[in-house]
Amino acid sequence: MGSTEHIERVTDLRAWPGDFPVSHLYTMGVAGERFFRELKDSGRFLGTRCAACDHVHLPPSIFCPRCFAALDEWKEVGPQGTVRAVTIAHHGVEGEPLDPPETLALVQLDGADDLLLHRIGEAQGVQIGARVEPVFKEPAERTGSILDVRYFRRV
Amino acid sequence: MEGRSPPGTPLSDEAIQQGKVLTLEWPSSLRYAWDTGIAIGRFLEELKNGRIIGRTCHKCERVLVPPRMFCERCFRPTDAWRFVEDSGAVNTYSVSYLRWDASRIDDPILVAVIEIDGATSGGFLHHLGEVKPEDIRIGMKVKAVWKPPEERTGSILDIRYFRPS
Amino acid sequence: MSTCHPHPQGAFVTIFDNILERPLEPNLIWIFALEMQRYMQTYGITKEEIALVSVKNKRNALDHPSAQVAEEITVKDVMESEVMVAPVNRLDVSPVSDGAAAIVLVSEDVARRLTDKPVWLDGVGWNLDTAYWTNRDLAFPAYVERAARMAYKMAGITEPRKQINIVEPYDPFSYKELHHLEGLLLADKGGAPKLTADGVTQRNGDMPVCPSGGLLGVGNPIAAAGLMKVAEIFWQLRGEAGRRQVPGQPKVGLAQAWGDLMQVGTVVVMRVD
Repeated sequence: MGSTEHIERVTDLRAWPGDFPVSHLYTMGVAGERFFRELKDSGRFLGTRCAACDHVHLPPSIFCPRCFAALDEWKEVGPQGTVRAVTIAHHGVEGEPLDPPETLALVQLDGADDLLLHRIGEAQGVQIGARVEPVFKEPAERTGSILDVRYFRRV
Repeated sequence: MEGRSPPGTPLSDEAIQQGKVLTLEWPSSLRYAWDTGIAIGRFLEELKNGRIIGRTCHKCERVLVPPRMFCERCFRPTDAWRFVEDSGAVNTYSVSYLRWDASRIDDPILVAVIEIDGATSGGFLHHLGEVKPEDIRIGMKVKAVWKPPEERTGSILDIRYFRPS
Repeated sequence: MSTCHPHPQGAFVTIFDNILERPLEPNLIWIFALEMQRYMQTYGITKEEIALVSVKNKRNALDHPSAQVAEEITVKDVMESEVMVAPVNRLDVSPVSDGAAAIVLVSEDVARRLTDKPVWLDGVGWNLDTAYWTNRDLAFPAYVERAARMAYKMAGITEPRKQINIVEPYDPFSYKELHHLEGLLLADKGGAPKLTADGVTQRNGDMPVCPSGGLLGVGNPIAAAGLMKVAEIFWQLRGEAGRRQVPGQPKVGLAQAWGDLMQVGTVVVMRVD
């Protein structure tokens, strides 16, 4: 049997606001440090290759997630690549409408076996199979983040 | 298990603070709005009026502060509203030299669990004021110091603190 | 937890009641300090008696390969360490840690195939008390007692003080080891400090407690800490705890964890044949 008390009027409803008051500070890890420094300082993408699996991992890692071998073979990949999947987002992270809508894609950079998620800019008519290239921020603006690439656009 | 030190690449605080390694800060923009419900909604409303209210459980013979709509011991809905005093006694206390985010303060925050007169088994968390840390005692009688009516909003902070009475 | 910025303690403001407690801007350590104060006052226990737990566990942890804060300290060091939230001093607290633990659970026949010394989970117990912690008796963890009774019943333990050979209670703070030992019915109410002072809880004592070094000495990965203790009892019962090994071939061990807003107790009773 439930309580017999009820709130009769909508105006009596109360909500208490709150938030999650801490932020998170991440470091990149050994492989991430090298990947993002290379992106920042030289505008190049690096992957690591597992000889046993014949697989180039992107982003790079220091062990192979498939066979657990330690990886120390670094390889430049891209900068160009091929769109393997594409979608258009009409709503943002908090559900707000995006105007203009944002195009996102999984790009396979030349030489890499894994796909990289990023935005597609100047996106009219980009489809699976399209050849794309990165558009970087100016060197002085780069911070060692995946956003040092503004977006990928059709070659 | 024996004889191996844990694997990994240690990083010092300086390496992070001086930017020797790349970092990424993600500010969580998580915002909430919690429904106060019937019991706490009324509790807050009464705080605005300068009063403390509880709920009774007739079966357990308890007066519950903070109020709740069911008794967590016998799982029955609670029976009635009951106003209690705004005075009480210190159940336990401590002297905090840390803020919520672990930063240090020199002027400590005095915090206590106040057993409210008229309630059974305890009451709620609040600050103590107008008392020196070394003079606080468990069992010490205290009384609520309220904000003036025009400053009250329907919040636990409508009580500024409890002071020795 | 180390990614939390500016400090992981800030994340714990979310465990308090959102409406009645968060506006008071509480620090996580407040709950422990308030509980420790009540425990001390109820039974007339001194800070020096409680400090012996930090001394024991940090010394035990010197033999643990993963220990974060193992060291040789004295009661005086604890008493003179920085006051954080009185009566809690810095050396009364476990550190901020990142860690992980894993166990593999198998059925009986698989266990017997894999090893000739399986460790059995004879009893498990858990209990959740009210989140209205300010309405509870803070001097005694009733939720630990109820969890322990559930585990003891399942394991057929009728005289825990005689039948449990080795204990890893949850020790995020020095007084918590004592508080939990009493909740586990392994000490009288208010009696755990005397067991510590008498050396009963040392590795070579009659009832070794936190032979690993506990959270105070090894580190506190919070969510992984309970399993960390289960793992320690596993190694101890199989005689594989190396320099931490408790003598006398212990047969029955107990691991206990605790959580949230002073309300969750979990107990595991483990045994080797």
